[in-house]
Amino acid sequence: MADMLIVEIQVLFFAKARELCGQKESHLLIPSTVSYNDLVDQIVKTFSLESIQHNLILAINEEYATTGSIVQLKEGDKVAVIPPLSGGI
Amino acid sequence: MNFVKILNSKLSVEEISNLVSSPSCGAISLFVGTTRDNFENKQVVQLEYEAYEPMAEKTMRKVCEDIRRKWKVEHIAIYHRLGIVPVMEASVVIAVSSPHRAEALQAVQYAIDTIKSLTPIWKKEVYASEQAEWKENKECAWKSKILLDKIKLESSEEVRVPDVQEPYPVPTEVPPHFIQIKAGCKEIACRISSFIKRKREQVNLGNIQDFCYHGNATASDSSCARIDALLIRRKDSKSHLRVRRVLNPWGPQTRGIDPGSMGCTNPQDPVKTLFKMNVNEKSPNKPDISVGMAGPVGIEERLSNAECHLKLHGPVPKDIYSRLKQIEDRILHLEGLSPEYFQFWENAPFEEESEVKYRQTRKRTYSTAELENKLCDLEYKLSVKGK
Repeated sequence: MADMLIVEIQVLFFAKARELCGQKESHLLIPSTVSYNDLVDQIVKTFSLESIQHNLILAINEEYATTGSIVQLKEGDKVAVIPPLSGGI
Repeated sequence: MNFVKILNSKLSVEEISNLVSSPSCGAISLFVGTTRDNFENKQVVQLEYEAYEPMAEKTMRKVCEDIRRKWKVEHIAIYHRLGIVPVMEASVVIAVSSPHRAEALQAVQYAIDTIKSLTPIWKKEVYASEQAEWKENKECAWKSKILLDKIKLESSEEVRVPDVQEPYPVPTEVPPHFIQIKAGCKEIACRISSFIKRKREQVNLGNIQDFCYHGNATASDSSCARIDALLIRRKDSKSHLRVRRVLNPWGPQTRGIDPGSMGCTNPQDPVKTLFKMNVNEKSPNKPDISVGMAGPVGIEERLSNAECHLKLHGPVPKDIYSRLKQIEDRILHLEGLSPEYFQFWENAPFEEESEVKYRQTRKRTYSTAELENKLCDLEYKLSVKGK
């Protein structure tokens, strides 16, 4: 298996996600190479976001992540938990 | 210039409009998003906006870049308010200026649609008598997950996702009368593959009927086969080929463009060639189709006339260039055999005439009768002179 390098990422919460987990940001230890779905699962489990698990997307370093892709993370990356948008009016 | 700002204070529509005004612009298009006081009969007490500010600003700047790629505009201003926004006050103001109004109007429409679908900003409605709710835009891009990759492609230059075909900037509403059937990808793939299978079977069946089975009642006019050869047992012959060819009098293959192609023949009878070959020869396994026809009927005739004249009987090459070469070789051969053959062409009638014009005093051969006449003339003249 490929080397399992564990990195610490910063996780940011907004709107409903923030209310559910009770904090605006936190940290998480995660393998540097991980599939998008696994990353979502990890975050949901760690921060009790089960109720919105299928209604969110992740943004890694201010870019929307691609669902179903393999994500490469490095130390200090910012992963934002983004619930359905309601900007504008 | 692009003016993008996220702030917590009240938005001034006039101030933002002034930001984008310019002497070269004839139009400023404005959009102001305000807060309603009701939603589904619930009274709204206040609205709260929250944003992932760095990414929201980034997204709004990308929207500006997109607008500039699509329309010729002068200035763009996108201002979004965060925090508590009282009812009737503006939560978002978009202003675009351009020389003519069409671009400004379209750009503003695009801007608000894209912002609603892409910008990480959230609105919470606080009701008088019910639990507060976080709203969800129906335009939210990634909720219809198919579109997200395409949006990413348009809004960031560095990221190149190889399997995305076309950038699709905003999930626009498709008018319902354009949609006949809605089906999932699996269903569509299933239907397409079964259609292909069915058609393949039909084509196979048709081919078998055309090429494999030859009843006497075969309607050869409707068959797809262009050339067909059938082995028939005939009296006194070991084998006999009946060849059927499609008559093609006007297609490109008959115009001499394709010198190696087969020409025309009577489709129903055994092969009759223009070269009057003995078709019904009893020798076994002689293929009748060794004779090639190299082009339109007119050229055929001329070639065959030339070959006839030069006594070139026998099978001729299919390729027209080989045929011409054969004719030329024959001519050279004949000229080599008989030199007067060669000279015959040199002393062409018109040449002789011009010679005669120039040198009338040149010696010529006289016949005996002519000489006698001349002598008689001379004698007569002398005798007249003498007298």
